[in-house]
Amino acid sequence: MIALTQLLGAQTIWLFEQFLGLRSLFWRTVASLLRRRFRRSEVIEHAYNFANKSLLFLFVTMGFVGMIMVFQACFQAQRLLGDMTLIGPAFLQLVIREFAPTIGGLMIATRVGAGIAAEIGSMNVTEQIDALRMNGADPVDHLVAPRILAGVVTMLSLGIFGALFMFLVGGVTAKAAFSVPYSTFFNMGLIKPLDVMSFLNKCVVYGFVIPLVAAHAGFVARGGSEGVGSATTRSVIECSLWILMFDLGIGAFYFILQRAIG
Amino acid sequence: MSALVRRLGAPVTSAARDAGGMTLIAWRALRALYPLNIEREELVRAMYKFGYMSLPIVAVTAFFAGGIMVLQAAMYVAQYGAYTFVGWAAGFVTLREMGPLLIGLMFSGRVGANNAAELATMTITEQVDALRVLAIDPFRYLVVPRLFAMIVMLFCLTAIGDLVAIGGGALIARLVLGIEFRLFFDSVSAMVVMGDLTIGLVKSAVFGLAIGVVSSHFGLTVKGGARGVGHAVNACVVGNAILIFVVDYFITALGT
Amino acid sequence: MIRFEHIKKSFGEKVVLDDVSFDIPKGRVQFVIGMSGTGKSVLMKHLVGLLKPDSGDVWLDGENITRLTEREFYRVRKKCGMVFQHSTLFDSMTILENIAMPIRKHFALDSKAANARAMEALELVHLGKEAKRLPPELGAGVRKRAAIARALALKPDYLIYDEPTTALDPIAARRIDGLIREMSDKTGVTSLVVSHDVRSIFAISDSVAFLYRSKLQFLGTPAELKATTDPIVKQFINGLSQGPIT
Repeated sequence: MIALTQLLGAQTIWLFEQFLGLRSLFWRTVASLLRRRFRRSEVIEHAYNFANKSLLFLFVTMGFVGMIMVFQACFQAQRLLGDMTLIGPAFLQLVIREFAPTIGGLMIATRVGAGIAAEIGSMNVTEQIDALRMNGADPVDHLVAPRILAGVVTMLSLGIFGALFMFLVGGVTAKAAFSVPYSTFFNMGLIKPLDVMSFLNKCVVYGFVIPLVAAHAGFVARGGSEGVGSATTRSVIECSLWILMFDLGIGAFYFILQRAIG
Repeated sequence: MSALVRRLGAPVTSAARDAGGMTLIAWRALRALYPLNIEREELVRAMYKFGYMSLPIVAVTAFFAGGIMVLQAAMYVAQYGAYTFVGWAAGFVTLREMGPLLIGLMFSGRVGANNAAELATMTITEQVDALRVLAIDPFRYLVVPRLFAMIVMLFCLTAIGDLVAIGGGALIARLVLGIEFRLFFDSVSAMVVMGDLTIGLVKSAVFGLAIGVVSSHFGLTVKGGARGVGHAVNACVVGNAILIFVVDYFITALGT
Repeated sequence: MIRFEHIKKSFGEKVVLDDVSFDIPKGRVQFVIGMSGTGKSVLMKHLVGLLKPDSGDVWLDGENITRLTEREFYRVRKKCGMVFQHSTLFDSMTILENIAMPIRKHFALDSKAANARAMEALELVHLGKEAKRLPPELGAGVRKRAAIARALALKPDYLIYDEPTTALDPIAARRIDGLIREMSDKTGVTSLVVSHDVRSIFAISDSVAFLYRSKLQFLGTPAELKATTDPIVKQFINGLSQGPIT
């Protein structure tokens, strides 16, 4: 019991330290973005890399999530309601509010975030970042700001593609396994402007958070190839946690907003 | 033309090689079960390291998973007044789907990636060869105990996570929807059947096996120095995510 | 006794060993020398089954071990210890655990007895004080000693040292030299030392094999090595930049 308390305490302190480090990196990045001290061509290059690297992976995972969810939903609807006309629109609503941004974010954290942490981490342990600073180039302008903009672009575009793909796969699954006609399934009647706003909001926030947290993990990497390995591992976990945290926060915000509007 | 074929064929052959290697690992690990032949000490060590040390992260993940699901259900509850729906979301969806899935992904990120990195480092620094020279089978010593530790610990962690997830759901239901705890737990116990819980736990054990196999494979087949370690870790988490979703799909399709 | 018979080994296009044959009698300190990349370590790895020859045979105590499977090699490896170039201790264990682990596995001892025997092995290489430390905290020379203790703890008949002095400073290198000789004299273990450290050769070797361009160029005692008229061998042992070796 004491050991467990110690473990929890140590993790809390660790989390707090992370938070402080992230906060300072966050403000430096915002300053860099506002002053536009980054190269636009680099943003495009990174976005191109990120998106291409994760497209196939994202489609595979999102496709399977789509199948699983529709399977479960149809089965439950069959059991509880006996009516599957609402499956399509309700599924789309859930995809847009929840699954597309969050599962997509987790996958991009795995694919892109880990890559950023490994890259910046190995630059860090081989003293390339010190070399940058010696040459008067600010690592935040140079390494972090363009990746963050690219992350937002990637997350938005892949989020939209992922959501569409998931909806498509869901429709095909419902037709194949439960003979729900396409015309019934592909119905966007339930989508409200707030749903789309929460979707875009989540994508932008995740797109910002993933590169930020991953870059931070890279900057604090210490000691050779093992340091790079642990930075990579840590970035996956930390990115995922932040995503879940924001998911809950943004979700709650929009829920309250929706209720206030009526 | 032949260049094109080669370009298209390369990912296929490498995927086939990975699949073959992983099947072999799974098969050899299964053979350690009968006659039972697992390094006890290593097993305990791995269980402590993988299970106990992942407890906080699993608890946090499970809490969020429960909360998020209740929140999503809350939208419909507010719209249609269907309060029983909350119990369904927290119980059915979390215990059967999202809980094992998110906890599995987190476990892959923490334990799987760690294991891949450690095995990869041991491989490139010749520590694995050192074991062989000391006449110790690296597979028996390094892979089998860790694999079984992952299966057992992910199962246990998911069981604990289920409890935390219900708690998280209850808290969010209370804070956002104003549903009393009592009502919430009544709804959960009315909507959840034992089968949901069992399927969720079975899934988590299979995820544990998948994570163990994938991370051992990519760790032991590492090539080329420190950069190789990074690649191995990345390939491991990506492979795990894909395998987790695929396995989840098949269990879902079979289970319903 | 170890016998290499017409060993050939290539990696892809590159021929690393070409028709190498020689014997190593028991109880000796045998050096295998040559320039970097001439296949010295490759030859040694054949003895413990980490590599297999393309053709030719390896004999150990009258048994042909060339075609043994990985499982059968575990028996051979109990007879042949190996000290890796980078010591290769297990980073996650203390020095004592590093040595006790294989003892526990092979002699079916409980951890107390295994630790006691590991401690003996550590005392033998004069490392008793460092037993509780972790490998990354220690210097290269100390790690090397621990690696020697680990290999010796299994009471092998043969001990292979892969470039034992390469990564060490001159003082640590001479101390390791001394230790190799001392272990050979004390325990009777046959030592095979892969090296290009000329000072070690003349300090402690009984016999020297010189590999050049994947072939055996010279085999003899250190005295014969010193007296040789072969221009290639002479250039190597004198460390000259000019000569037949380019």
